[in-house]
Amino acid sequence: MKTLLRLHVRRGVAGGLQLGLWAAVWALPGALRAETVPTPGPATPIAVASAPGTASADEPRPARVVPVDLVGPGACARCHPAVAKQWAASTHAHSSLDNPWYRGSLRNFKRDRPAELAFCGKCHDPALMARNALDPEAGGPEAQAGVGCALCHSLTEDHARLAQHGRTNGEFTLTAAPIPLGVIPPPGTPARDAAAPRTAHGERVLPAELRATSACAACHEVRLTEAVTAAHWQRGQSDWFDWYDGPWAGRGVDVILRPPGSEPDPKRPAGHAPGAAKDCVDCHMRKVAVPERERGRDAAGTVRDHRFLGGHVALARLRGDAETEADMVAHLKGAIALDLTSARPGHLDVVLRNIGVGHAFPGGTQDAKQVWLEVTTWDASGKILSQRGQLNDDGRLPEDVWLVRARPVNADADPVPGRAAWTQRGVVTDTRLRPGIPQVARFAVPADAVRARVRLNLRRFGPDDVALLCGADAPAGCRTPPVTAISEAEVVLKDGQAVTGPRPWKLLIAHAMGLSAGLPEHVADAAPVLAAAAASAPPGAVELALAKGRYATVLGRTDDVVTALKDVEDPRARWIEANALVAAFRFAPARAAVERLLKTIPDDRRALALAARLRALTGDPAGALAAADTLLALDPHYEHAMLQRLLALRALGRPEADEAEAVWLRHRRPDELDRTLRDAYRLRHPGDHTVNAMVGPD
Amino acid sequence: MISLRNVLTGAAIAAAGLCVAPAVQAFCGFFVSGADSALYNDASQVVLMRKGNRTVMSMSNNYKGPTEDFAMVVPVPVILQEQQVKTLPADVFSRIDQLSAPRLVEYWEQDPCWVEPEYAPVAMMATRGGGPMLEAPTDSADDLGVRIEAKFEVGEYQILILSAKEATGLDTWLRQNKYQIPSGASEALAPYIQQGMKFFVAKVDIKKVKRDASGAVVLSPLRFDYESADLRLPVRLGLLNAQGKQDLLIYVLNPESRFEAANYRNIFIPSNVEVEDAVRKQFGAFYVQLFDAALAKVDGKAIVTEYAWQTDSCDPCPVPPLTPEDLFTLGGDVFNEGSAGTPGGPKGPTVDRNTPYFGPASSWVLTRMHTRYSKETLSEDIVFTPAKPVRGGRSEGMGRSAEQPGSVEMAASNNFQGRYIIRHYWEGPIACKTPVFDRWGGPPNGLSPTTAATDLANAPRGAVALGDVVTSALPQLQLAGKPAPARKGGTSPAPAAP
Repeated sequence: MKTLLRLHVRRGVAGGLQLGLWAAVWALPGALRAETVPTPGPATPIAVASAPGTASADEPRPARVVPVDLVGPGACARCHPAVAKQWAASTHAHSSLDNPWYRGSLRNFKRDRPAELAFCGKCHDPALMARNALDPEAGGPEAQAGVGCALCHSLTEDHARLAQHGRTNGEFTLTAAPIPLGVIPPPGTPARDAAAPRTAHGERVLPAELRATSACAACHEVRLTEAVTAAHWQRGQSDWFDWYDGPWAGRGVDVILRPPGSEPDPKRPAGHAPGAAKDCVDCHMRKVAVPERERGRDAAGTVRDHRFLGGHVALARLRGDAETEADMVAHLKGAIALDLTSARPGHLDVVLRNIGVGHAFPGGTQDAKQVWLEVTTWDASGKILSQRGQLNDDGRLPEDVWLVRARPVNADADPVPGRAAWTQRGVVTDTRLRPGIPQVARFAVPADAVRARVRLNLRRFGPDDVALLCGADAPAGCRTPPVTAISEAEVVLKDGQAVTGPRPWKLLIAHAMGLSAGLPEHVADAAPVLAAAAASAPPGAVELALAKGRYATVLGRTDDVVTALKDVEDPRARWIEANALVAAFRFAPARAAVERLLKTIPDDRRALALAARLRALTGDPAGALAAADTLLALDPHYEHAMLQRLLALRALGRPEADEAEAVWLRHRRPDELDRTLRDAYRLRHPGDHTVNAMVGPD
Repeated sequence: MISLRNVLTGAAIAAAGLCVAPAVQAFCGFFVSGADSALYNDASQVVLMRKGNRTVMSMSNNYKGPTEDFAMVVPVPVILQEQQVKTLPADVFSRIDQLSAPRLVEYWEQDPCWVEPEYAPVAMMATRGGGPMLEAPTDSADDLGVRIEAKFEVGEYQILILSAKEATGLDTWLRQNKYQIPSGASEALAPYIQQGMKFFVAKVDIKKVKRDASGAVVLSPLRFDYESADLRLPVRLGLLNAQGKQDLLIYVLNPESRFEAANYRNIFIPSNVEVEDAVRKQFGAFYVQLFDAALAKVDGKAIVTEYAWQTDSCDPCPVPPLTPEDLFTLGGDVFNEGSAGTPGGPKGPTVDRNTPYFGPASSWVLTRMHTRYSKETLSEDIVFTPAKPVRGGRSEGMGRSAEQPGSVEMAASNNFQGRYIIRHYWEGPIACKTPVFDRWGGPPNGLSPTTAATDLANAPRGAVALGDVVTSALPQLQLAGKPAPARKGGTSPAPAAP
């Protein structure tokens, strides 16, 4: 017998289970109770359809049901053993307590914020949370439960409606309704028609809410609240909105070069993000073959991969799961493109492009992942001439390494160590790679070097992190997370420059845009690169016009921006144009541009924010309020929308302004604190060039 | 009760660089006063010391206004902390101005039969002092949608950092604090409020400020530092109610590069120009005439480069080159080049040359750009970009010019200056059979003077006809060049060097 948690909801009590409000719900006498029930054993009969393709929602529901079981795969494994096996190889299978790094983090969190453990537990330890028993030293099945099948498959709410609820940080809503058992078609049964009505089982475990990408947001959007930080509110991890704003979600208004395959798909299947090319499941739950009895409705005989492949190579290594580790690495390989070129003698420019990750890379929490460039050059005899980014003997990264990551710091302006997100006070630099937004890192190379190799490495934790996280009870592998090269490129060098030959015009544009995003010194280098792109681009290339518009914007040449984009019918052109015009205080034409953009992409966050501002500046506070409210409905934590709402309400003389002001002040970014932290960080970490310049360590 | 009518003008220019967030596109700042009479600020100087993504901006304004309290209001993207706002000794601006200003040099033709004299060194100069503190004025902001985010004193300024929650709140607050802002200011401020920017208010107690020998108010230059990927000088608010032309001098200090405008036409001031002796007494008037003529050729829409040189040298030198202490004063401490141990440099509101400097004696490139603008000629922020090194306006040995008049050449390093030359031809007897003319040096019995053209905003305009005094040919300005005077005794005049 296995001790399990079973949840019941008394009728009339909302019919749902809100993990975010768990404590309050538990306080209702009789509303919920936990009890020990026998685990459904292998002898439990499984309903089998008498004939294929006949099950439907109209049929009488199967008599047998299983309760919602938040511990592991639970009863699901009996009918879906292959999927359960996948899940067991996933990060979701781990709780905070059977992941040694997270357990260390939870211990430290408990030490510093004992009353706030639910911040971690709601997403990482729902089974323990359901018993109100989260503790880093807890034992038993719940402590090992992870994010089990029943949790995701019991979601009840469309989390695209975040604004109405402000749900992040694990504040999802589950149904506690028992799960009707499904039917297993006899061998040889053809796949059911995808358009056929669902079975009661399918309706219960695959609701539309689960198919919405925003289902993931409840845990992959994290806000560092005042209670967590014991200081000010911070936005924290925002993978879902990073995806939402980007090209893969059908937006990406600031993306000149869309990653291949990210063009908006108007024929997106029902249940997936409309207009998006790919959403969460397309990358993290790719379709994989499973035995016939588990195929469900998929004619191709596949199901979504429940290993949720991502960047969790270290955990797979720790488990000794070589197969999953290899698949993880394969999943990451090539997602970041490295293009090696030169724009200035004696220097190698590494153009980094996120072409395969739908959100900013690296994703996840900002406080631990290490992603860096390792650059090596050789002379003609094969002797190494220079190395950058090699680990020190103690396993630490050298301070002058080019890091691809955000750098949150604590009150002492030191990098937040050991996943101690609650100590975060600001972010001093952020070089993460957003989808389709190129970045240039510049390295000096010796004049006699003939070859250079660049690697982009990933490590989950560094020595300073593991020293804080890996307790005496942690396995040895906890202290040595693997280093994985996820991208690599080589180039021939001559006279201190890359020898590349003619380069595709889109790569030239990427290089020019990466340089343009940097300091004026590097912007100047972009001109000849952009000219070369113009010389080889096909006539009428939209990307070239957009690049010219962006470059002119950087240089403050507003009229050139308008000229470059006047014949380009593309929402990205309107975005560039609107920003250039607003910079020149030409508010009316800027508003016209952004309103045109919104007709194409009405739910773009940044466009809505700019529209709110421009409507206000052109004498339309009611319009500004409408834009701000629309934006806050999408993202209740969008600070600029809060400000615009406040200003519009004041202008309209509305009494809600006071409340709007309180909301804005609570979420207002403490920018002066960031600056103070950056100054202190510079002094304490003089080798970290990323805090001083977006382009180039040299 | 003080009647609240006044005019604000483009002092904002000086504060421009405060609008510094990457998304910030507009300039910043204006004067407000409680007095009846107008405030004037028609000339501003800005030093932008730039390295990486950090800029230290120092600004100096020529204040012309009533002897009443006044304040400067500048939108800023963040709440500036006390350690980020400093006052500077006024003479650091004087030094950088004189070092980079157009210079008038005089050469005396040496005895054609004699030897060359040697040059004597130019004397060192400069002293400085600090400014008094002000009492904090009262304020009541809460119910106006105005929030006082920070309050501190530096020099003669009392600094308030305000945030506004409605477009008219700041307007009302200023009026209730007996400062009147000009019509249209609410509208002008709205974009900054919409961006969530704060407002830097520097209140000045007129009774406590320093005055020069003529009694004119001398405001201590203010210095701020900020971060921004780009380097731009917002000018929008400086044009608010601007009357007439605004004179703007921009100095950019960078470790490697000369800078120029990216979004306006760039021209170089014609240099190595030979002029008649009469220019000596009205060099400023001559220069502004030349400047205006050059600017007029491009419809007034240009940034004029007047100087690009390393900070540790000059030739000729109206004043000695900038010292490490000068660089420290202008922002070297922010870049933490081995001097101070606290973020943002030494603590305290004032930085001066008495602050010990232990950093390396580095050499930066000093670019001086100059423009006179109005709403019609300078409507958008000036964005700066690095530019390739140039040379021009140099002398070579024996007082000859290295480049043709008005010529600017690409070079390996920056050596460009505005140089104007008066030549005194040999008037003595020629006591040898084979006289060697066109050898130039100092006067027969003294130093060779180098005069810098300063206070150019106030130099009389229209007082000099270029055609009457310029002896070099400047085709770009349609000046044929007045023939040089003949040597005494009828010797043929020397051609304009080289």
